[in-house]
Amino acid sequence: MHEILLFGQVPDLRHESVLKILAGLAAMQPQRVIERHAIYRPYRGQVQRASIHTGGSQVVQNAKVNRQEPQVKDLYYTKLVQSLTDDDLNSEKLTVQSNGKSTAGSWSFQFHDVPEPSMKQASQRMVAITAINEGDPNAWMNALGYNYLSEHILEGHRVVHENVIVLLHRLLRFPPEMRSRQAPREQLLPLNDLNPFKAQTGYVIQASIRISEPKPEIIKKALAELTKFKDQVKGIVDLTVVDRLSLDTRIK
Amino acid sequence: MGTINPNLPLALRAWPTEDKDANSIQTLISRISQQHRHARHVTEKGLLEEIANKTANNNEEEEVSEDDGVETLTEPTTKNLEELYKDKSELFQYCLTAREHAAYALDLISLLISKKSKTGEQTVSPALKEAAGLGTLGYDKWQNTQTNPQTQELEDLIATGQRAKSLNTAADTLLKAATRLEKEVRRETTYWEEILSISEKGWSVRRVPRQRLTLGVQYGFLEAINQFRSRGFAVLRSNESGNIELDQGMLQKPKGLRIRVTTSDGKVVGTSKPPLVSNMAELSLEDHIHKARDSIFEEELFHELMLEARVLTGYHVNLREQTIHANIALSEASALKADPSLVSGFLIDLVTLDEDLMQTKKRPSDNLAQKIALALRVLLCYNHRWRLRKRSGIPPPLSDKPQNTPAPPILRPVLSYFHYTSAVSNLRDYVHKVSKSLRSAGLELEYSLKQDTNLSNLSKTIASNANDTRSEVENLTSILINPLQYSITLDLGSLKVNNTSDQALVIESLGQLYPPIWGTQYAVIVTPALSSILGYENNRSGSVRYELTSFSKAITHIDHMLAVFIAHAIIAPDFEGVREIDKSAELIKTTSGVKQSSRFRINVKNGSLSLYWRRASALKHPEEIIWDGERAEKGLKEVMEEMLMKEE
Repeated sequence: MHEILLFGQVPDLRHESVLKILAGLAAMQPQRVIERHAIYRPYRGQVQRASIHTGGSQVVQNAKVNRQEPQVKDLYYTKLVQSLTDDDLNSEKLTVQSNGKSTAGSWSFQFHDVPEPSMKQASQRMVAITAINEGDPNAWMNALGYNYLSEHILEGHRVVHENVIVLLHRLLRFPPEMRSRQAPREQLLPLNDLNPFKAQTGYVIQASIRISEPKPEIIKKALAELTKFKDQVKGIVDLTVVDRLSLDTRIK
Repeated sequence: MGTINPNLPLALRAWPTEDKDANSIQTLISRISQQHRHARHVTEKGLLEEIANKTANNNEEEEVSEDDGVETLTEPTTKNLEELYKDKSELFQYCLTAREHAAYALDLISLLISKKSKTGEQTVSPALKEAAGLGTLGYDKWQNTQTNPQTQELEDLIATGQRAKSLNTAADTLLKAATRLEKEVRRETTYWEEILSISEKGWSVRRVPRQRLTLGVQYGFLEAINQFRSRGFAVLRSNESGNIELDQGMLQKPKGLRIRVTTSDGKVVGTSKPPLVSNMAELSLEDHIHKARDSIFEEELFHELMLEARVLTGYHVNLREQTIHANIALSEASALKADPSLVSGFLIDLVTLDEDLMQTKKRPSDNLAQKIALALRVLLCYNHRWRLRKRSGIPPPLSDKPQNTPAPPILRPVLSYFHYTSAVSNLRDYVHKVSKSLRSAGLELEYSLKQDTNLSNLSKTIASNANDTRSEVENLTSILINPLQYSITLDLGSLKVNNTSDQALVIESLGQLYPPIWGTQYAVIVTPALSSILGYENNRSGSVRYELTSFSKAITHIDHMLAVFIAHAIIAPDFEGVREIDKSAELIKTTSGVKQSSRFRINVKNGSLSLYWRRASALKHPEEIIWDGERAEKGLKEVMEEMLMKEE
């Protein structure tokens, strides 16, 4: 699956009015969205093992293997996303049931590629989302070769206008002393106790259309719809293309 | 015209230029002789005196002007010069204007007299000559008549009258304007009051796109399909008195859905109650909006029903002349109880509400018709909510594959409910009959009926399904449109005297008109203990489940099972020398010394039990005895005993 994105900014003061306008435009109540994003980073050692050279006669053999296998490519950050509700944030502890299912919302494994360089009118990137139905997601990620890095909470609202998914959100972090170093925290905090990211104020508006495959005609159709939406909200929110490298998920 | 200061020294000639010869000796001499007669008389003394006099005069003048307090006359400053220029140009303008006027006057007079004398021809300007031509203006001399005092009086009177008339007209116009203004104000007040009244009641009033000064009201359903969504908006226009009228474009009479319940012989035995029809003129604006909304809702409902009915032709639903004919009596059911007065189907059509619908008298199935109509309406509402929920979620990724949106289930849940109830009543009738037949044959069958658990404790189910996103009404409706299950447990073990193991037969029916079931499905579940008696292969430890697609198949299956069970578990163990055949309801009695053996067969058909036998001695004369629920003289076992006695 691919998605085509445009971004904009909404100051705190205008947040409510913009939300109302969007709700009116889409003719629906905005859906509350609270997500916990846990960022994972692959550990290099394991992945790079293939390129380690060994001495003696094996060198020739290894060279052959290397030719056949694709080159070790860039490494990417990935994330686990858990959808939550307001109740989850306020509850004392997220209990994990015996079958490994958390009482809170389900997790999913999400991978976002770097946006395609060819697209100019919007950002287009490949997205892979895999739902995790049960089990301990952190242990699973560790087994896949990823280490937990950090986590943040995405809080906002979503409206859907035809195929355009509009997410008006902001990112929040746990206070520094409460950040976990090993795995996502078991206990969440009420929204008021969380800190905005980098003392950032205001909300981010993300308008996206998901497409099943990057065929030119589908991209054209999606772009046309996204541009139409952009023109519709002109004067309310400025939707722009962001620099593709600011959406870079590669490890440098 | 401004006034010119008379004291201002002015010269109507060009500013003097520097003359080269001004100081030449000749000019000087001539000037001196002009001023002082001959040069002879000019003496130095005389000149000195003159100069002294001049200065004295100037001083006097200066003193006088200083006494007057006027300081501006001292010397011509640059400012004065400018003024001078200005005044000069002004004067020039006046002169030009005067010249022009004079020329016009001359032209006019010349033209006038050019008709009678030739003098005018010389003075008329060539431009006028060309434009108007000579002699084109004429004149006559009239004698100045003496005005008659009477006429004068009359004329004065007329003038007064005319003036009074004009004043009256003016007053009338003003009054009319005032009335009109008042009317307008009243009209506007009524208009805004009505707008406010509907807007306060929650109707969404908004401006009409591209018509900035008109308001409209949205009364339709946002989740309706496109053609009805756009019709759910009407412009509000005020009439003469300021009352608002709904401008619905094409004027359409309100319509309503009508359900008529029919019997199998085609008689209508019940009609749903159409929405109240009242005089349109007496309705308030809100009632009008209500009417319009109801009408559009009914029309959409009918439209959806028509679409849905097309795919349901296989389920006895037909379209004939804009009427949906739905048959709810299954063929199997009608076979069991062929009574023409029973309700066999219903008709759905859309009627214009101004027809005389209210006069129809009460009929026995009015209630049923009304309930069907209500259910259809509830299901359309449910469908609207479902669409909103679907729209609010994240849409599937765009793709080039066409997306098919199936017609919403509105008629299907209603039909499947009827199918379900008819299936259930068939099953129940069958089980009653079986138990009655068996009782008459001396066997007691225990059975239990169980309704769908979701239905039997509805309130509990709704509460347990409740969450934030769905309302209780939606939960209720979703339970009703899900497949309904009905189960009957036949405790076959109870037929035996010493009942030990769980030998039950469960019949389940599950009905709905969607994939994958498309109708009513029957399942016969056989417990392990029973399946071993019936000789069914059962590799697993659990119950065996047989799924059957029609009622007749199901009862044939159960009939057979019952017969085999009776033969194997009830007759065979009780009578010595009687041997059963595997998987069959036949019994064989072999008597020692006799080559032929007697054969018995237990038969259960459509719920009635029969015993069929051929004696060894008379194989060609089979005999049969039937227990069909009527009081019988002897039971099955007694008959068997008699038979066997006779054999020996």
